[in-house]
Amino acid sequence: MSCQKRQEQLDDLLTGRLAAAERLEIERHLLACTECRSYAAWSRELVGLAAELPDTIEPSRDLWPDILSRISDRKPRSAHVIRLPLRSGVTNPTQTKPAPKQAPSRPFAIAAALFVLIALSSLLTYNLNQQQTTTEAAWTVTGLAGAPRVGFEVASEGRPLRVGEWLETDAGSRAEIEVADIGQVELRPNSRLRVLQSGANEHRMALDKGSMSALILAPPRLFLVETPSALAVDLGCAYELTVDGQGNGHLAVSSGWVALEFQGMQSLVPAGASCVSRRGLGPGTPFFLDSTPEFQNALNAVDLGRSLDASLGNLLAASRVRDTLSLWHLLPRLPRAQRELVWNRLNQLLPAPPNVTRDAVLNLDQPTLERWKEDLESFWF
Amino acid sequence: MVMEPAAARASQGAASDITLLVEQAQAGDETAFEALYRLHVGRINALCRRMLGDARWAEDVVQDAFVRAWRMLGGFRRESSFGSWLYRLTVNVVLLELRSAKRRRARVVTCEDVTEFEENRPAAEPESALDLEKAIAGLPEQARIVFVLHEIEGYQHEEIGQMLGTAVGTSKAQLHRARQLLRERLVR
Repeated sequence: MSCQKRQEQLDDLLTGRLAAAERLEIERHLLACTECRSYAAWSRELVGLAAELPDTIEPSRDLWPDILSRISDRKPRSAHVIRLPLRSGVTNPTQTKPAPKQAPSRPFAIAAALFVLIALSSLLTYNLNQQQTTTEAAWTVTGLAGAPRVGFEVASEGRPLRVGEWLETDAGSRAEIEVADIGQVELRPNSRLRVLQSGANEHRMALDKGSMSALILAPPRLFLVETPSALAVDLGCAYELTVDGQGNGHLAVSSGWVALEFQGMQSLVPAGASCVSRRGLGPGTPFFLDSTPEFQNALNAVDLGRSLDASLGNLLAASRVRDTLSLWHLLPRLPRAQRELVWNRLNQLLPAPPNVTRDAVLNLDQPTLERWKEDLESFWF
Repeated sequence: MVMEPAAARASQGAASDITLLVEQAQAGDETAFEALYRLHVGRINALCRRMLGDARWAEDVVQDAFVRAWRMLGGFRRESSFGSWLYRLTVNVVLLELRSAKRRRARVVTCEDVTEFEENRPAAEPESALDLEKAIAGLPEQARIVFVLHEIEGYQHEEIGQMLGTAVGTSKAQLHRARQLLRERLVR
């Protein structure tokens, strides 16, 4: 091991994060190496100097008037509602059904139809105008490598990317997209995406194949990515999303939260976690990337319903406190008998608070499950 | 500048006041948001200035951070303190800005920026801290960001790797590079 590598590990040594053998090796080396000892002494001194830096530095002028002028026409977006993850095909109880329609009388129906026609044509004209004005410069694309293409033309630097246009990369190209003023998307090689919508209330694109990374700083549910197997809903975050040749998706979140949704089913994926979505089945159960291979293999089997009892047994045996993310998501996805096993394991790992009762959980009472999630969330970071 | 009543209350800094201010701001109360701004702007500006190495640029990004915070307040769910949430949001705003700037190639951190940084410092600060601020501002971008996040802000390499989209080893290597460069600059 080089001196530089040893020096890079000094922090791990000081914080007790090295295995015994590595620690011993570096400690012995420090006794013999003047340069590494000198680096260690300087690192300690630097920590002391950094601690002396002031916590605050006031700006040279009052920035508030400029900030006020930029926010005064926009109110904060209201908080999003996180729905429960449901089995595919199960109606979400939080979704309200539209009121049944009553047949109108004939003269009224004709008048109403004419009114609707006029209103629709006006709305269509308005939408087209809006679309043109809001999307002309809203998204721009820049090639990072090779020759990414928009339609049939090679994307020039800063080229606008309009609603309906495809951006495609081959094996040797990559591209970056500035998504209005809310963030950036990098499209990796062999990928294709299309802009579906761009406006003040929603930015939506489709990732047809390949990989992308997104860094988005926007209110929840403003940036959405459609894939063949699920809809990725940004809840303020950074993430990587891949779509394979069969249309299955793989999501890995590095900051914030992303929701994967499909036909009333939802998986909430926090930073450090991942989730697979399968075409026709929707999002699987999210899991933390630092969970054991045994846990991840068992979870995959449970999601696919393979040898459910045995797989669930392996899953529960391999679960840690942090894996309550997966266990909580499994509750509404399993039959009652298996749900009871998950309830037991969750309580072994983290006893439920008093306002979260066994019966309410097994009956999938939504407010109770929400309360429990809020309680568990502090262990998911 | 005369502070509004909400801003004056906030200067007392009680956590309950901050919670109340956040609730009011979430309901669209700009005066409450101003109070939150005044409570946090010093720390946010320090963070931006150190990460960017440029005082004027930092002040632009501070504005961006508070504008985004206002727009995203509805999504703040109080899992962490408002200060921690705002801090993490600002780190992401700075990283976005740096990525955009790299592509624009329009803004370059120059020696003049460092001089200005020094001139803007309060005179009463210890010289060693002032020297360190100057030296940090002069670090290469990636080394500077990793040094600020790890050594000053206390983030772990795993978190920094996630934020920057790099491996943990890359973060450690950049910190090592930063320390070596600072030693060359400060230890004569």
